[in-house]
Amino acid sequence: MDSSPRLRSGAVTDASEHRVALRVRGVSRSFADVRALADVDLDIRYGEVLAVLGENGAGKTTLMRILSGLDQPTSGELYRGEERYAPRAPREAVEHGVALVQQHFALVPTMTAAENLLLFRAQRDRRTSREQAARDLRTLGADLGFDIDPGARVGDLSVGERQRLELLRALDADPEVLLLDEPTAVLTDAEADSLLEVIRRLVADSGRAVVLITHRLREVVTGADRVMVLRNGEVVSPAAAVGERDADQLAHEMVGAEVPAIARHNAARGEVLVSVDGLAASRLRHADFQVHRGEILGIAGVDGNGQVALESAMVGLLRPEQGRIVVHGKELGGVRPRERIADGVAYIPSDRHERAVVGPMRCDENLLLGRTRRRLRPDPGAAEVMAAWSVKGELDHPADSLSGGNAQKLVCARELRDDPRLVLACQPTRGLDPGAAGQLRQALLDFADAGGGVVWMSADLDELLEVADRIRVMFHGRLGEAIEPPFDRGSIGLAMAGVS
Amino acid sequence: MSFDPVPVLAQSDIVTLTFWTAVLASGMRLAVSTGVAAIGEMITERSGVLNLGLEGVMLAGGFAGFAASFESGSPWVGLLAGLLAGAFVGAGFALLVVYLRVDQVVAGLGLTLFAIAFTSFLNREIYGGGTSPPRAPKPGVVEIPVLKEIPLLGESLFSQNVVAYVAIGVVVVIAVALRRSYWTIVIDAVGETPSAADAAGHSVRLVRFAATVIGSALGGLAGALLIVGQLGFFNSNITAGRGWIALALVIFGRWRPGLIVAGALLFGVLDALQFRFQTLDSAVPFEFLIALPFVVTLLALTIGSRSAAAPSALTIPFVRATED
Ligand SMILES: Nc1ncnc2c1ncn2[C@@H]1O[C@H](COP(=O)(O)OP(=O)(O)OP(=O)(O)O)[C@@H](O)[C@H]1O
Ligand SMILES: [Mg+2]
Repeated sequence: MDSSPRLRSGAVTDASEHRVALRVRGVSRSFADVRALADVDLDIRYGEVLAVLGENGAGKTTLMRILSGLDQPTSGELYRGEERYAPRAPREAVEHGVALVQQHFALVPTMTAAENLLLFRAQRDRRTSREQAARDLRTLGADLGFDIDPGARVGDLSVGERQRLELLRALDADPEVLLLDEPTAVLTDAEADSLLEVIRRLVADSGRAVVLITHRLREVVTGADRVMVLRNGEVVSPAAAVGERDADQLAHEMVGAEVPAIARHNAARGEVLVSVDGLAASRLRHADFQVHRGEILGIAGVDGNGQVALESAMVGLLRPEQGRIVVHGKELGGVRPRERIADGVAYIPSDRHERAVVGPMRCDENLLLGRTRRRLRPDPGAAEVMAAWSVKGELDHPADSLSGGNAQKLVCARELRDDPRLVLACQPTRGLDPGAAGQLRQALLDFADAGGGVVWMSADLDELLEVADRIRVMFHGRLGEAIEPPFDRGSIGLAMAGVS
Repeated sequence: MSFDPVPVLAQSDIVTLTFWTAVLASGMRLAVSTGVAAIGEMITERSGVLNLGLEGVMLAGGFAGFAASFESGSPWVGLLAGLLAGAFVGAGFALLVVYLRVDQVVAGLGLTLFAIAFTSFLNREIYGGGTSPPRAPKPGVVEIPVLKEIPLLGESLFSQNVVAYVAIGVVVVIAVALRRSYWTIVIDAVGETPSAADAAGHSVRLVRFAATVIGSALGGLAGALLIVGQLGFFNSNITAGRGWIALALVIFGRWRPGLIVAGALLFGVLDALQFRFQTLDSAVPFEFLIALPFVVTLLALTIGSRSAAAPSALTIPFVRATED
């Protein structure tokens, strides 16, 4: 165990000298014949934020899982301070002062925030009463400027709140090394900024070591001290000061090539393809809109304003309480997802794990999901589709083995495969690396160029400004007036925050 | 299904207080063993394991309980033996479904079928299995003076045999412990979002194993309560579906102890009632009466389970993403 004092009794000593907190030497990890990490060397230092960049499937998550005891390397060594460190389980890592916030929430939705905090405490901590957990959660939250109700059911929290809760419960063990795997992926810019600020404070005040994984290069430039780049499991650019590098340069290092700019060729608007009248369902109070052929309608909004209800209603997963949805002259009545697919409505859901991939099923079977009534049999085109979308993974492995971004690419590949009429794309580029995000954006633009209609929901306003033909803002379950270009970023941003 | 001595009734008796007092008292006795079994199964299921072998676990506990109390002459030894037999069978089942990831439905049904055959075989080999089986010693009845005279409820609450009080104690202790405890959170997390529990450093498999063993130990105890505490003898398939009823009660009670106990009492009273009605010279065919408790349970299930909140990971084995 490292000899530096635990944080509650003061900051890590000598943080100013940036002593090494965690040393990674020659770490490799293979899954059957997939090499996820190859001979990785890395020093994680106290008192700084180290950003880890890399394309989807580069091995970032695999590295974090190894550092936190959720997985073990095939070869190579880890050192905590001067001592050998080989955690076999998350609890061992926590005992050594290493805590991880995973890429996907590790929270129990049916329990309260305080109970989730409690779950992460070891029995022998003796701080295992609910009252104590609730108190501690409040204190921790107050320290960081978060306001979380300990009694709230996690399932009822917004993603932003859940992400803050994840951070709080990781900090509850008072770790010296904090690993954050895409903590900002589901957040809006404003939320991400404030989270980054908190992270900077954690580093500045107590000299913790923080590893931050993100696909948003802007965050690296503003929030990180050093940055390293992984590609195909190898370190292609060892940790070095962010210095003068800007987002474009970083993207170049990550992808190994220029990221091509996206382009729209034919913005002609055809006849009406979808018309939604007075739709209300669950948190969605009222929505009226039309999408024409060849049009991309952007729906901007912070998560939790009724987007999930809107997407669910449009694909037949939620019965509308009022109103109607007409696609291509045919009313989508009731709850019939199969009909929706047959009618050519493609769906890229905001929650891919919940709605788009079946984890234990093979990748090629996932490509056929909802597309066949017969028994699944080997699909001759599957390899080609996977390659076209550069999904990094094996056809015959379960979808669970895909990295977060690759799972998303698989979903896009399936949904755009058999010439839909309409694509309902919900937060489609979340978790995608800049190259993959560019590819998906271009694919949807091409689709609209060819006369398809797209409904594009996103919390990322910059993305919508780039791709949408018209934008409507969703706030508190209501859809605002259509905004035509040229778009005014400032006023749309305010509308998303409820200021009109 | 009840083996209490049943007086022959006349129509007019139904309206008397004595009649209902007796129905409640024997309903309470019947509720005791199903209630304990259901509470045990609730613990198992909340960790994500469905033990369809509960009927078999009860039979194993019942037979062990009978044999131990018969040989030793003490009902207490019988209860202990039932508990241990349940835990033992449960450990085997848990080994199969938790560690070897055998399908829980298949393993559970297999366990029940096996236990039915095996206990009747042992019973026949050792105790002859005839029409007049040997009797185990009966536990004493605890009568609390004055209180037991309370109209209607006095007899059911304050004049039961010792064993029933033990069972009631067990249920109360568990219900209270589950309300406040750290371990409830761990068990629920393992049954609800195992990946989160894993990330939190709990061994999903160990927790499930333990919850299954504890649940089955209670199932075995329930079997022993039935045999040692009430019937006093063992017979082939003597549990007669009580394990299944307990499984249904868990759903009916939505995985909450309070509702499960209420369901057990309801079922017990209906069962006692149908038994008394059978001796009544009425136009209703007795088959209908026998079916009555089951029909009511079924109805309660269909209504109750509409909003049921089953543990999300029930019956799904846990495999960490990086395991093969
Ligand atoms: N259990 C597994 N079985 C097989 N392959 C796996 C498994 N886990 C990860 N991989 C593979 O290892 C590689 C690295 O995955 P990892 O999740 O570390 O990527 P990542 O850099 O975090 O990507 P993303 O940005 O998409 O989250 C991927 O090609 C993935 O398919
Ligand atoms: Mg990842």
